[in-house]
Amino acid sequence: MITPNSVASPAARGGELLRAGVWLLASVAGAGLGIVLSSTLITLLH
Amino acid sequence: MTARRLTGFLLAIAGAAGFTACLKSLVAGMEDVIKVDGGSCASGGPYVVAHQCSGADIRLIMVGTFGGLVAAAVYAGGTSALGRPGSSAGLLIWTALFGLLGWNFISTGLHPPTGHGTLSGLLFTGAMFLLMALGGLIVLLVSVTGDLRSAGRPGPAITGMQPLVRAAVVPGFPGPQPWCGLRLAARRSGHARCDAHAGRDDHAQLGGQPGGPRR
Repeated sequence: MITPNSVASPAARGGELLRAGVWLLASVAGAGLGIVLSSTLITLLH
Repeated sequence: MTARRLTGFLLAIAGAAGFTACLKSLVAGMEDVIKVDGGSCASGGPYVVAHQCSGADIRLIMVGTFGGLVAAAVYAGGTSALGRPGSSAGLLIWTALFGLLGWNFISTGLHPPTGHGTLSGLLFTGAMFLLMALGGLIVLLVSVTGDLRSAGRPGPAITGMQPLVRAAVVPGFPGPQPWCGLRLAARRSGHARCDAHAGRDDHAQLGGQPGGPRR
């Protein structure tokens, strides 16, 4: 009898969570850096 | 962390920073055009231009638009190198772009420059932009949640696939049955009781002749 493997591997789930967390961290850090740099950029372009 | 992941992390930070700065530059340029020039401006051409675009406005909007496109590509590349789909970056950029522009339109429409009434066109445009941003945000959240839920599970093509190899059933030799785990031991010890029960169960379950096709 063949039954589908419906149980997620904890290691794979942890890896996916880690990738999503790192991506979110990079996005938030980049956005913060961009907000800091934007005033300088706008001043330069004015 | 591998070199690829580290590069992706740095690219994602640089892309997100560049896109955010360019987006704020675009918003600043649009605010200038709305508040100073009344919402539209032009430069050059054979006609008399009522509102000349200032050099600062042109620079802010041009750098904001094209710089934002380049930064978005860098961010998407970094996201992909980090192991996330590039569409996640696209959806986040979509949400940020339309959300900030929509908020800016609504804010300017509610607090118009001196001499203008409430700008209903800006309010309508801002509401539409916010709706578009909300749509992108919902799709992004559904996508990320789905990825996290399905992590580690086989794809649907593997889950629904029929077995490629089946065990051959030798005639006259009943194969092992799941409801008679000790069948082989019973046969070795000379007790055939389990075989007899299994045969009756087969007949009852298949609803046909004994010895019919087994699954």
